[in-house]
Amino acid sequence: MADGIVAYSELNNPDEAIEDILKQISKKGNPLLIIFCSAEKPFKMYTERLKKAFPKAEVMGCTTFVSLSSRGSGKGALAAWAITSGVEVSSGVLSEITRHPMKYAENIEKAAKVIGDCKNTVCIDFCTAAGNCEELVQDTFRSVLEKKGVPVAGGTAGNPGADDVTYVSLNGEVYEEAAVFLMIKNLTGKVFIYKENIYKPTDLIVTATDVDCEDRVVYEFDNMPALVALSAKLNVKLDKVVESLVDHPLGRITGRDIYITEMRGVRSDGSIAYYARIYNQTKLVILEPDDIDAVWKQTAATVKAEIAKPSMTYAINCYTRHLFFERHKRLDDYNEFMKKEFGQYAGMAGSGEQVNYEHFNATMVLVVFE
Amino acid sequence: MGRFNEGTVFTNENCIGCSKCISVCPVFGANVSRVIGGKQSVEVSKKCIDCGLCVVACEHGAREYRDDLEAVIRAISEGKKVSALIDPVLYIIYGTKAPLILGFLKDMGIHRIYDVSYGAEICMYAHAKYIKEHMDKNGQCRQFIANTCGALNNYISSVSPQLIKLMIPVQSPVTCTAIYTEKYLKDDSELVVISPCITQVDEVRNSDNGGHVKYSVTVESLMNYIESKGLGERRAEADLTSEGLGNIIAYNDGFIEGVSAFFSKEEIFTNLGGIKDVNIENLSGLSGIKKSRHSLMVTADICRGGCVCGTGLKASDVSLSATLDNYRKIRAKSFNFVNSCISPDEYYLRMSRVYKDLNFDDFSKTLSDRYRQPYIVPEDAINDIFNRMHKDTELKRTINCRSCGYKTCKDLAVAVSNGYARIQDCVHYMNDDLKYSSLLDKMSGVANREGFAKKANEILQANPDKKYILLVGNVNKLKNVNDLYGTEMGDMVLIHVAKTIEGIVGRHGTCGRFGGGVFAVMIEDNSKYTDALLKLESFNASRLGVFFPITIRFGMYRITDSSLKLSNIVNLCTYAADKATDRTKNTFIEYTDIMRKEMQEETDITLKMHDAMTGGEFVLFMQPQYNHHNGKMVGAEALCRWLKQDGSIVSPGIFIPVFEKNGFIKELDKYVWESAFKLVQQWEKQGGPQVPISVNISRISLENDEVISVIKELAKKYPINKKNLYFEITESAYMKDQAALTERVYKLKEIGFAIAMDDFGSGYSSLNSLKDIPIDVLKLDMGFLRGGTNVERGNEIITYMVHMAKALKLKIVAEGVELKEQADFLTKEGCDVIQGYFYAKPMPLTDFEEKVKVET
Repeated sequence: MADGIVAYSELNNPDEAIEDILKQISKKGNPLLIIFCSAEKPFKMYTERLKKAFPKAEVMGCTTFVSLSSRGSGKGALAAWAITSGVEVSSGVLSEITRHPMKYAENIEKAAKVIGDCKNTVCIDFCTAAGNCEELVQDTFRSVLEKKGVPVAGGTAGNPGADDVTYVSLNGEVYEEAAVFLMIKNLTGKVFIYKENIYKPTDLIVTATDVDCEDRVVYEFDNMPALVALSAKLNVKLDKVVESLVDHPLGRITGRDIYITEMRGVRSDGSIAYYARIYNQTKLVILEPDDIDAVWKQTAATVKAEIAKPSMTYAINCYTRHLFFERHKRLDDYNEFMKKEFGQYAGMAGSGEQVNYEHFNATMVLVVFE
Repeated sequence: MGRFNEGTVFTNENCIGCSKCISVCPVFGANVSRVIGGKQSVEVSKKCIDCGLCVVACEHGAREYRDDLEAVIRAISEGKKVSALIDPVLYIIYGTKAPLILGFLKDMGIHRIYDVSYGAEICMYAHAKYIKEHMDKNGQCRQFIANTCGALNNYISSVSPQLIKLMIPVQSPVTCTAIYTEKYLKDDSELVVISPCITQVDEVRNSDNGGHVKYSVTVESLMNYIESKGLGERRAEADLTSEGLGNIIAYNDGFIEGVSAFFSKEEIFTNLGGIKDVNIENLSGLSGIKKSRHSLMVTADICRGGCVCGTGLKASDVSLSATLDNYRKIRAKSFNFVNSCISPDEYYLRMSRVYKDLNFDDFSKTLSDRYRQPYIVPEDAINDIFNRMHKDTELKRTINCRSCGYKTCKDLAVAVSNGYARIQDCVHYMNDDLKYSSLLDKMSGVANREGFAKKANEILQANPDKKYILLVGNVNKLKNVNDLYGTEMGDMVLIHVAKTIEGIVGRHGTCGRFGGGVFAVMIEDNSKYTDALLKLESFNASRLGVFFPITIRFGMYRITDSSLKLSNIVNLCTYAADKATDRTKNTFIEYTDIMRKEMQEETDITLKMHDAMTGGEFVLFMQPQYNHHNGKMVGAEALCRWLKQDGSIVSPGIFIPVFEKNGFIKELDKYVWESAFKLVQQWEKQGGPQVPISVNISRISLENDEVISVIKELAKKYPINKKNLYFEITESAYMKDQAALTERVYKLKEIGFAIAMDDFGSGYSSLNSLKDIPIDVLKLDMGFLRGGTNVERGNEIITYMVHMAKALKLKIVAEGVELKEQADFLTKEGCDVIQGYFYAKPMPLTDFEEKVKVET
């Protein structure tokens, strides 16, 4: 079984926090890999200190809105997820991700080659937020890993200070525009990826009819200005649309799945910017909150059906989910649920999640190791 | 910055959206199809590389470009020193007129004029120098790309950056000239290039070119300006020019010839012609070129034929014969120096000496990688678009006719997905949509009756192994919605219902609206798909502001026999739907064998009813009524029976509902009334014992005023003592318009006939009806007394009903009395008349007449 430890520190002083984390990890021994997340300010220092302390480990990190773990969660906290045995790991970086990450596809090939036989392998990646680049990054991963059968679970870094200025790091280096990844093979069991959606569809459907894919802007729904179309659909005044859509993101319907897209904001021309790409002529359904307890029950049941005893779990969360739980006073329940069902877990909360080579929002992606 | 038309090339109001620009454009997404103010237009996006091909190709004058002519005129007027770089194409196109054009420039205030042919020769030499220094380094893929065409450079930089490493890093002839004048002639003027190329405008702004040239004006722009001002007589020559191969660069293979002159004839130099995808592959040496004999250098121009066919030329000035003539003369002179050298090596050596003082680092250039990786549109998004375009077969998805401007249907789908194109750009979609539109219900967007039938049959044929359920349903109380909220809201409710059903059915069947509130659904018989519909209690229209649940009564049929016609199945479903009684939620009544028998019976009755009437099969039976006090017969009710020719009897319980459904009841009513009138008149004429009789008026007959006129006519035709005949109104008539009913009853009474309310207490009557409708007789239904657990309570109710009727001075007839105890009780309570099996069943007329003789 993949074995490791989750380290967590809420100490305000970053030097103390990192010492605390290093101590916690060291208790378990030398890690093979560490995935960590923290606030932006001390991120560089954490990156360097972790790599220095564990030079043989693959150390990957990202800035986050909230650090989560089975030992606690909080904004500004430092959470680290370390695996000490039972896995093989390699890593890599994709640069120029806002423009041409495919140029670095060979880094993925190299990392895959290190692993060799890619059975029971998962690729976890973090990418920086600026530049609407998640889809380009996922296209790049797909071009290499789909044929190898390696699934990718990814998260977009977060930063409460400025959501476009985020950082990721790999092995001591910090990047402002990159995707860093670890390829992890579970030597003693399976790896299972699950996507949890806390929303369900209403009967309100719109079709995007004028978009700018690259900028993630929808100018028109149903051949009407976007805001006007939503106002008509929701039967509310124009200035109430944004408020009405709190807890009601859009879902892109694809086959039997729904990929959630969160609104970023309304622009001055009435167009609407989103946190994920919306294709033209795509049908989108307005979602509403589902029965959270039923959702969690389903999540637990589905994961348990695949992996009866999770050893280590990494959770890639969306910050809007965190806000949702806060608003509806379910945060403590969520933390309890995760602790109860998923063994040692840690996670980050950013502004986007990726799985199946798709990028979306308001979702939790679980990477569960047997 | 706006989304479109902000660059060098832009669309004007002449555009009709013909898409020709898309077909000639080398960049995917540079042309975006839109509808602006109801008008189709193709706009230029930020991806445009300003090659100008669309400007030349457009037959509607809808593409224009911006250059710097105004800026140059302004700069000169502000006293700035502006010198001009003249492309050698001017001499090839304008020949002897060229000096006059240069004279005009001088008159304009241009400081110096530099012929780009000079810089072209530096450029050619620099290319050769680079190749000679690097020719073994590229290994097997030994191919260099010349930097001659600005549009090609833009294309490689933005679209094919993998070719950047093959580009020879030397500035263009224009920039080489500019650098030379600036660094070596120390001319500090602002420079304007007079160019045959629209892209040149872009090139001067491109930071890769070092900003040596400030303005770009096309030959077309200049010549139009000259035309407006008039060409003067001043002649001028360039202050710097060349006698060599730099003069032939504007013509097709000119640059190639200039560089190849430095190499032996064994080396291959290739001009690949205009930019198209296949040439991009050729550029990188991947196909069409044998590996053992790659071209040493290739070039490709956006404009086929070279700069003499440039996008920035004034087309009306270009004469093929004059161009060729001028070119021949220029070419002959240009080769003088080359031909004087005995070998390419000598030519190279001699040119090296000419350029010995030049630092070629000054003329170097690096092309930036401006590539943006295109998105890979997921297959499901492409499928969605194809499905919306009715491209539901592989054939339809690969028509590839190019009339939309895109090479393949898939390219169009990708373009639509990215927002560059509209599905309406596809002429095949528009044709199909016209056909499909005729199959669509315009209001709701789902299929109409014809469309539903077509789609349903297609699904059945395509899936012989799957089982399907057909449902047909009608929205309950749609009239209420229309009355309460208006018909517009009623329509919105129907649209909502249609969309909801469509969403539930999805890909697992089809649905349609047949008109009004009638919907049809065919869905695969699998609980995974059907549950969502069959468990739907109602349609929630509260978002529309309708706050009571919208429900449908569905009839359903499981299709097991594929030979059964769909229209027949629809009829079966409609029949089953009508069996529903609960209107407060969605109901799903399955068509059963019993219903099949019922339908058959109904059909049989309907087929025979007219003949039965003409054949006299409908006869009156009479059920006597008695005064229980003295046991005397005091009246009778005339009832209709159907005695068939073969002796069998059809029960009224069977044929009356069928006649009410198909409307024949009105004919039967008239027949029965006329029979009753005739009978009463006959008895009156005979003068024998007689009792008054009653006949029924069905609720269907009561729905309009024709009943009054018919009875009036009959009264006229058969004058009788009106006390001998009265009419019974069935209680179910009170369900509908009570005001109209009241009015009709008054009119019947005005004619002189008494009216009885039949079956009081059995169902729908209300005390309100009793208050308002002027009846004379109340006929009580004896259901209260027939068993059950609350007989005592029933008795109490009867008592009070009788007292009430008495208080209203109504005659009371109790019907359905079967037992003596019942008759005794009713009489004791005050009932005037008893009718029922206790005394007599309905009997044939002859038996009744005999009975009357005996008993009265």
